[in-house]
Amino acid sequence: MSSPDSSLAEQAKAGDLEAMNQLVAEHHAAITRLLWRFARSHADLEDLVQETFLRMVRGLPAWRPQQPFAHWLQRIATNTGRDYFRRNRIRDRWQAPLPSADDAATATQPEAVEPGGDPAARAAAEEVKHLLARLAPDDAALLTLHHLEGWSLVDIAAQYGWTVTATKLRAWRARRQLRALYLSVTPS
Amino acid sequence: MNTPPDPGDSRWDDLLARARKDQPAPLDLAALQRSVSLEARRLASARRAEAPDWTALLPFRSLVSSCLAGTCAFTLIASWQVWQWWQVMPWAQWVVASSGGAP
Repeated sequence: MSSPDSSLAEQAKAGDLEAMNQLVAEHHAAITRLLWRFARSHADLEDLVQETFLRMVRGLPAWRPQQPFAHWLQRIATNTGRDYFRRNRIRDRWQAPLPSADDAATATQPEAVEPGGDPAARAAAEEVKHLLARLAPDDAALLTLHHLEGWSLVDIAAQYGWTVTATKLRAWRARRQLRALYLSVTPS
Repeated sequence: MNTPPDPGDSRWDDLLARARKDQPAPLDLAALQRSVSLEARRLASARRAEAPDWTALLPFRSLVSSCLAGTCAFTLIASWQVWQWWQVMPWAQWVVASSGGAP
């Protein structure tokens, strides 16, 4: 028996715009929450969510009903987030040097124009994101999902097509590096 | 292999706990749906445009005239070959004799 998502996705695959819009309406909140963990700003978040759904539209011909639609879309979103980290890394490398440890404390202040709820939560999220942004893009994506979304390493390995052993090793190294970064910016 | 503890100490755990509570502001769903619909329409029209491109590559008139020219050339060469081989066939003389002339 096919899920409502699957039948909607089948209709969208056949070119039904109404079904496509319904899929967007049903999934955009979850995708937005997930990609907010990756995005540096609200404008970036809008771009990432839009990019995810545009990739969904382009990829629908390849989607198979045997695949749960929500998982398939979630994979697109995590790949979009990882690509965003990679682009940012390249842009940062060419545009300006990475901020020094001293800059980190001031950079963690949330922007005044950013809409949001709890300012303390926003400030904490900014601080964590700022630290993660200084890791290699794949490491940052891994720890973003692990620390901020609470995903297990096994789930992350499955999501990115890595082996579990490689993922654990990568996580171990990334956390060690993150620890050093955190200690360097945090007064003891 | 031991996993190193999370960075720092309990402050890091507190930081993460607070960071997880951070929620994004809602996005403009209508604008998102508009961009998705636009992309879907663009893709659909691009797919439809592929078929006329193929017919442009092989226009009907050129196709017919090419086939006619090919058929004529094939018939000409085949007839000449048949005429060449006909004369050396062992039974050609019998046909010539019975028909009273050239085949």
